[in-house]
Amino acid sequence: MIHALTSGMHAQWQRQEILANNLANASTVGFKQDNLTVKHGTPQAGPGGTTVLGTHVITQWTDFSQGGLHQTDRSLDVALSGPGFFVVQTPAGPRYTRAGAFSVNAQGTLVSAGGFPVLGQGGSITVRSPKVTFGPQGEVQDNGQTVDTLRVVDFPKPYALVKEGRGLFAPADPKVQPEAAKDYQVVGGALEESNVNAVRTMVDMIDMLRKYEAAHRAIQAHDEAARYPSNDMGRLQ
Amino acid sequence: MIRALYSSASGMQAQQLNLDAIANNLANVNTAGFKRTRVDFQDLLYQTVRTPGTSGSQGTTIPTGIQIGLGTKPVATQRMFSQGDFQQTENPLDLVIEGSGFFQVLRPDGTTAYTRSGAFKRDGTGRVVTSDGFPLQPNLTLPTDATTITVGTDGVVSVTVAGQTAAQQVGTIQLARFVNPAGLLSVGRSLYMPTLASGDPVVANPGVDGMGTLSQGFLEMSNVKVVDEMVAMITSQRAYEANSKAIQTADEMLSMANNMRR
Repeated sequence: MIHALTSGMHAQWQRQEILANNLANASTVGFKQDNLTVKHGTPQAGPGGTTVLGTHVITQWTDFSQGGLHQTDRSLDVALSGPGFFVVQTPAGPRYTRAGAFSVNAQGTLVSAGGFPVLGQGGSITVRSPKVTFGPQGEVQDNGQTVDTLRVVDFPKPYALVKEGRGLFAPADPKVQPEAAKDYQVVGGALEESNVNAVRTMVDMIDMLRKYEAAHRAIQAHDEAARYPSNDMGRLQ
Repeated sequence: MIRALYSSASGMQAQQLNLDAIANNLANVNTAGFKRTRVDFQDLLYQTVRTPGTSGSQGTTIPTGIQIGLGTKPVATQRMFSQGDFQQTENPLDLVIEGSGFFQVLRPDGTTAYTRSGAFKRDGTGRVVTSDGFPLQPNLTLPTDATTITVGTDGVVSVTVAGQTAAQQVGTIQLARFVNPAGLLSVGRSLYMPTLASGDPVVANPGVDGMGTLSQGFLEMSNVKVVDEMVAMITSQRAYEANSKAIQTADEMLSMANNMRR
């Protein structure tokens, strides 16, 4: 019984860690919030009837819903409206991101905020002029001339992606290959804001805290009850 | 739980940095040639508690796993080189660059710095200098008896001297541009220094090779928009507050855990 309750406390504990990370990333471009749901596992038949043992089923999922688009007036900022990811080349292989605060490095290569080359249809993209804009399908226009098109890919839903930090996603199974994204639009001069909903997160935090508290009080009550027989039983007045 | 405390702390630090940038932008709302900065953030590493794709208890495959993020970190203070508004001053040595490019000025240590601030003056010898007395490069000296000074859109500087009607050319103002101006290092006094990230300067006459053109008698105002900064300040403050609430919550939970044994 006491272990079932501590496992409940532990699950809420983990939920708080995830909520804290969401709030910390309220200003992170292209961030997708995580969520953790805690459900009781299958009740197991005990000697005195049905007891729920400490088998909390914890499910974590990332909410990939669209974040708000924020106009920035910086031509190298680009946002995705609709499903899909930009592709960047990291030393560990291609990674996927929705953070489109791109830059041009000293060699003229289009890079992500982390400095990784952003991939187009023909590998990394090199631009020459200071006037770089993006078309609605990701066309990279260098002084009006289309030089390449941003690679925008998608994965089968529900997404089985892991977060690697730095705004990067990787398929959980490295063998999974991305497919071309459909129904997306590339918006130049804008960024996708974090989709963290502060109100929702605060409510979740209250909910989490009260459930944690309930489990905590139940443990105390259990302790109280257990103390009675061990201390007072068999004591003759 | 300690993870939650540090994640929230990283969020608060991030918002502090955000506010630092906003405050500096607002402080420079009237600085000619000032370009506002924006702080870009990234999520930090994730601790994987349960790897997705591994086998669960009853021969099932875990579809999503559990990953706990460790907060946020600033990744760049991005300087936004969008054009500022023009203010007419009618001062012949106030110049604006319409388009990309920087004025080149010589610092006292002999290095060349770059600026968008075109509020130039004449020093005692007629040399064209910045408000700090740093000479414009290539050197441009105006005759001390010059009555009118004209700067063409192509950078050609001509003057008429007292007693003459014909204008004479005294030099050409050249501009420099960078592949990645956001990679320039700000050194204060509205000056920037090149870095490995910005690339080497490309020097050309105004209007040539993608360079902007010059306009005389105007100043480029700061590109800070007060309304945008105010909105950013509000969201930053609220995010800071939310993170501090997360710390309070985590603290309350830790205190409950500590008081479990009465």
